[in-house]
Amino acid sequence: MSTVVEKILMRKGRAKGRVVVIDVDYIMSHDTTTPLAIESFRKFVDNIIHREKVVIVFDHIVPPSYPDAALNQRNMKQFCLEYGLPFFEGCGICHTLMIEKGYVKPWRVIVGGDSHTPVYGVAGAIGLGMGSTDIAAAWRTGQTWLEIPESIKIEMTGRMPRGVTSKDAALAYVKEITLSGGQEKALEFCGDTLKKMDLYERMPIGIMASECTAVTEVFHDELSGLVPDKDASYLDEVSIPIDTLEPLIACPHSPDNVKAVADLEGREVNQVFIGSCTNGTIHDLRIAARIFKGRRTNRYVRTLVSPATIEIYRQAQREGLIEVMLESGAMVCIPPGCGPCIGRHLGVLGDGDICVSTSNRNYQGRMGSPKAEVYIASPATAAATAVEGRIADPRRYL
Amino acid sequence: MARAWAFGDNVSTDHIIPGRYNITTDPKELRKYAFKYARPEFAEQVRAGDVITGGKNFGCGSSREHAAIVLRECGVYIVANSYGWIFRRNCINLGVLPLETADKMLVRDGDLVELDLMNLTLKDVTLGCVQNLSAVPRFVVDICSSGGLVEYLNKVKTYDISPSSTGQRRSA
Repeated sequence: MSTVVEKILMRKGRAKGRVVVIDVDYIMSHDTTTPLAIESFRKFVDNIIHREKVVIVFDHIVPPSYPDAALNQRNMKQFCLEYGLPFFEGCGICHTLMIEKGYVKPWRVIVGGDSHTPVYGVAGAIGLGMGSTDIAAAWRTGQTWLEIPESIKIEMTGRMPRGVTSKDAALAYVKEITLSGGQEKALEFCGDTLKKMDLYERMPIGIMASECTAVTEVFHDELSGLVPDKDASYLDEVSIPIDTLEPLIACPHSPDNVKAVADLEGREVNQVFIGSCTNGTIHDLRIAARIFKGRRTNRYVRTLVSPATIEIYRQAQREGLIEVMLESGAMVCIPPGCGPCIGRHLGVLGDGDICVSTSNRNYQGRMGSPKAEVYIASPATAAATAVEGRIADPRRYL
Repeated sequence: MARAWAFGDNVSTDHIIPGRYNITTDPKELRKYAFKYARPEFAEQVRAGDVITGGKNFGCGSSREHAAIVLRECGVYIVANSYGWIFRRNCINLGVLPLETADKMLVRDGDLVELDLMNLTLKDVTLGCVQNLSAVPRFVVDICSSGGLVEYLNKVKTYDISPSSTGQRRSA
């Protein structure tokens, strides 16, 4: 009578009622959350660290764009040296990298100092996003604790229409569940649409669970035995029909303020950003390149394309996608990182700027000025918008 | 008596401190940017002991612990209908009690309020009404009263989830 989330968490930990202490498989943190984790860790009376579980990624401000960030990052490297910890610098955005490097496997439990850690559910793992002190405690104990969340089941069925992507499917369920609808809960995804998707294509669906404030999310997978018991109890079951789905867009200033792209067509924009942990994979670059091929991006729009990892960048190069992007007038940004999505560097918005972004959050001020507007959409919608200079329906191009 | 700073539903950690400002770990520096965009006057005018009230899902979004650090540095209390999962943990881990009320939040911005942690009430003196606060789980009280998660673990060495620790509830 267990949900998949209950099965994984019960197998990994010792429980009293619904509170469980879990031996975690990996502990990931990045250059924004690690400095505070180091400060917390230094307050432990003994300096034992579960070295074999630690993964540190430099991705939020790479290379540093502020002196303070440079100092933090030097201190982080010193800490890595001191404790013999592995780290990746400029190799990619943490979540895409964790999946690419094989850290994320079915039945694993991974804690991450980043709110989008739940995305590991696309590969059948439980990802738990946490703050820095929880990360420091996990380094020290190899464990974490939580109350096992109850789940909402989200079923996606039907064939994806032309010009519609997994990001649109993600926005469709965020609209349904809302920003607070996942509080203290887990999301479990199933249905024939998802079975056909590879991990990269699933990523926007996994990432956006955080935008419903869900504790975690996981995809059902029969091959790995990640299926609920027949009598598992779900708080709610939501069905998202995919065959009738149309391109969607989250309007300022909330990820659940979702509307049809068709209803916003013609709105002028100044920036288009294709990338982030949400839509920076080879799958996303292929979609964008199909639209950019043989076309110019609007010259009044700053168009940024950022592959999520160096491996993805290399693959895109081999497939000729980077050439297509450059020919179209887009700027290709490496090293890979989180810069534009969090308003730190490589494409910060000014007062009055309007941006269509494939990232995940559009809170006021998220990408720079609080007087800018951010629209969240699929790589197809973003690419079509870059070409027209106005919010555009990608179905004309695909 | 303290001043209330009233916020609505879904206040994100981006609202509490925008991403471009959390590049330092210095609490005093971070404090300058508290609610920088959402309430530009906040950092200047807030006083220790003031009460922040929120609706549902206070502190949703990014995992940045800087948000909890900022509020701890301001010395404010937080009372909300509910919290973002990560933010709530961050508060507890830093020794800040995330106080909750099941009552509809009536407190208005600028009202004078009195928080009573023994009796778990938030009194709005301006309006003349009292909001009841939910009991805080003992596990949470234990961590907060130790000063935070690190101090707690230094004491107990491992997570204590015995029924007496998690099941019983008592006032804050």
